[in-house]
Amino acid sequence: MIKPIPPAFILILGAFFIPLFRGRAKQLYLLFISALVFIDLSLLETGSGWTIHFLKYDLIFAKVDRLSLAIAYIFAVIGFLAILYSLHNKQAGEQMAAFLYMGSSLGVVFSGDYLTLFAFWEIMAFTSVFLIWYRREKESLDAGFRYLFMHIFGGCCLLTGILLHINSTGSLAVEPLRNGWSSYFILIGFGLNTAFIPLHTWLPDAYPLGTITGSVFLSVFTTKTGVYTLARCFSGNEFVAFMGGAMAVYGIVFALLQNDIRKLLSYHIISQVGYMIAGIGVGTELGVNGGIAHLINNLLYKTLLFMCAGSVIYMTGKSKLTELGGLAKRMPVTCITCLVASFSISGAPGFNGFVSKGMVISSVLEAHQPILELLLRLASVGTFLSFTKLSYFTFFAKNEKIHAKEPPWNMQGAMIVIAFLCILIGVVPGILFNILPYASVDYHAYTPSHLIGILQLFLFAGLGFMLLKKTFSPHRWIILDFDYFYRMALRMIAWLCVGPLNDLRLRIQGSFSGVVRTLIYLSKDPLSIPEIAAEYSPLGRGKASSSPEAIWKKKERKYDENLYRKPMGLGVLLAILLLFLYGLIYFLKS
Amino acid sequence: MSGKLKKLLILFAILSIPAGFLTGHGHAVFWWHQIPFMDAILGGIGTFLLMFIIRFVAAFASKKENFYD
Repeated sequence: MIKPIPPAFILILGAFFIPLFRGRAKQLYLLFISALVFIDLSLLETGSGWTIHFLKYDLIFAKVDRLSLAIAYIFAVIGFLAILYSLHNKQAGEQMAAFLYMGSSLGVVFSGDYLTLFAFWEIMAFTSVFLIWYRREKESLDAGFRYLFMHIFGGCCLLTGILLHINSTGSLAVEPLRNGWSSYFILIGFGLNTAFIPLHTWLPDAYPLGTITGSVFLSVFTTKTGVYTLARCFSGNEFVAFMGGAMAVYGIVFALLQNDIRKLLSYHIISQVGYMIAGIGVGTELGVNGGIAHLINNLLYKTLLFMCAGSVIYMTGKSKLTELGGLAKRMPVTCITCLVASFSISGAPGFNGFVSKGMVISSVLEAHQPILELLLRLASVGTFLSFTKLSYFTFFAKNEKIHAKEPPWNMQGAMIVIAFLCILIGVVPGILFNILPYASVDYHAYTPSHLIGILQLFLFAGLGFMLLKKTFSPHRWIILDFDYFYRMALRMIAWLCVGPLNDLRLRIQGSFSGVVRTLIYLSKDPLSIPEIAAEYSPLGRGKASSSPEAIWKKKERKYDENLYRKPMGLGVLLAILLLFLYGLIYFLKS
Repeated sequence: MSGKLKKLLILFAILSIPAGFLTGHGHAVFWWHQIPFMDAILGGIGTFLLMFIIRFVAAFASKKENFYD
C-alpha cells in the first residue's frame, strides 16, 4: 500500500524541477504534478500523520479531517484549473512561485501545530509576491513591496501570538482559541490574510497589479487560508461575525466605485470573504458549513471572474471599464462564462452562490442577528449591481474602437470547466453538502420564499440600476482607501529616517570616529602617551592646544608601523590558544 | 438598454410582488420577514442607499489616477 505524503511536499518539491522542462514537456509536467496532488489527497486518511519531533514539540504536517480535506480538495481542483489556464505562460520562475504558493497553502491547511502553520504561512507570503513582481513594471514592484510589508507585519503578529500561546498553555496544537493576548495577536495575523478592515489594503492594491495568470492564483489561496484558519481557531466569535458583515458591505461600496476590472474584483473578494467569516463567526453547524460552502463556491466563481478579466486584459490590453465595451460579440465564450460567474456571485437561483449565500444568511437568522442579516442582504444588492455594471460596461456597452478575439484554448477550457462546476453545484447542491465539515446538512436552498425573495431583490435592484445608471457608470479616478493613511505614515517614517535620524547618525558617527582616530594614533606610538597626557594635564602646560593627531604631525616624527607590528602568526596563535582555552573551560564545565 | 428589455424588467418586477404574497415566508424570524415584498423593498431601497453611500465616499475619496505618482 502506498503511503501518501503531505500534498504540500509534492508541489514544493515539484516546483524545483520546473526549470528542467521545456515546451510541451513542461506543460505536461505542470498538469501531472497538479493531478498528482489530487490523487495524493484521495489517499489521505483521517487523523494526524507525518509528525516530527522538534525540540520539545510535535510538528504535525498532515492533520486530516473533514474541514481540511474539503478545503484541500477545492484548492487542488482550482489549482489544477489555474495551471491549465496559465499553460501558455513561459516564465518558469513564475510557475515555480505559483507551485510554491499552492504548496504552502496546502501546508497551512494540513498543519496540525502552530509552528508548522507559521512556517508555511510565511512561505506563502514570500512566494506569492513573485506573482506580482513577475509583471516587471515599476508599479507592480512597488505594490509587491507594500504587499510584503503588510504580510511581514501580519506574520510578526502571528508569531507573537503563537509564542504567547505556547508560553501560556504549553501547547502547539492548532485548536479553538479563547480570549487573551495570544488570541488577539493570532487574530490580527489571520485577519490580515483574511483582509479584515482596515488591514485589507494590500489586497486591492496588489492583486490588480499581478501578472494575468498570477492574479488568478492570488485570488485563490491567501484569503481562503485565512478563512480556513479562522474556522479552525475562531469559530463562534461574535467579533469575527460582525467583521464579516462590515467587510461584505465595505467591499461592495468600494467595488462599485472602481474603474479597473481587477480592482473591482479584488474588492469583491473582501465582500465575499465577509460572507464566509460571518457564517464562521456565528459558529453554529449551519454557519460553519455555510461559510465553508461559500468559500468553496467563491473559489470557483471568483477564479472564473479573474480568468475572464485576465482574458479580456490579455486580448485587449485594456483593464479599465471606461476603455472597454462591446466584447460580447468578439469574445462570446469569455462573455458567457463571465455572466455565469456574475450570476453565481450574485446568488442567482440555479448557480452555486445561491446555495451557500442562503446557508450563511439562514445561519445568521438562526443566531438572531438582525443587523448582520440586513448588512448581508444589502451586500447582496450591491453585488448584483456591481456585476451588472461589470458585465454591462465590459461586454454590452457600445465601443466600436475595440478589437479582440477569444483567448487561447487552454484559457477558454479552464473557464468553461469552472463555469460548468458553478452551474452543477447550483443545480445539484448535494455534491457540495457531501464534503462540508459537518456531515448532517439540514438545509433546503430551493424553497419558494427563497426563490421569490431573490428574484424580487434582483428585479428591483435592476430597476434601480436602470434609473441610476449614470451614478454607477465608471469614472476615470482612483478611490482612496485606508492605504492612504499607511502610505502617509510610511512617508513620514521614511522622512524621519532619511532626515533627522540620519543627521543624528552622522553626528554620532563623526564623534566616535574622532575618538577612534585618536586611539589609532596613540596606539601607533604608545611612547608619546605621557607627552600628550602632559599636554592635556592641568599640571602640565595647561590646556591642550591641539589633538594628538596634530601633536604627532607637529613633532614630525618619522614613524614606521612595521617596526612595532608583530608578525601575523602571533595573532593567529593567540586566537587559537584562546579558542582552545574556551573549549577546555566549556568541556570541563559540562 | 433596449426599450423592450426595460419593459420586460418592469413587468417582471411588478409580477414578483403578488408572487411574494403567494409564497409567504416559511419561518419568519424578524417582523420584516412577514412582509411579502420585503426583498423588493430591500432591492429598491438598497440600491438608492448604496448610491448615496458611494456618492458620499466619492465626494472626498476620489482622486486623479496619477495621485500617488
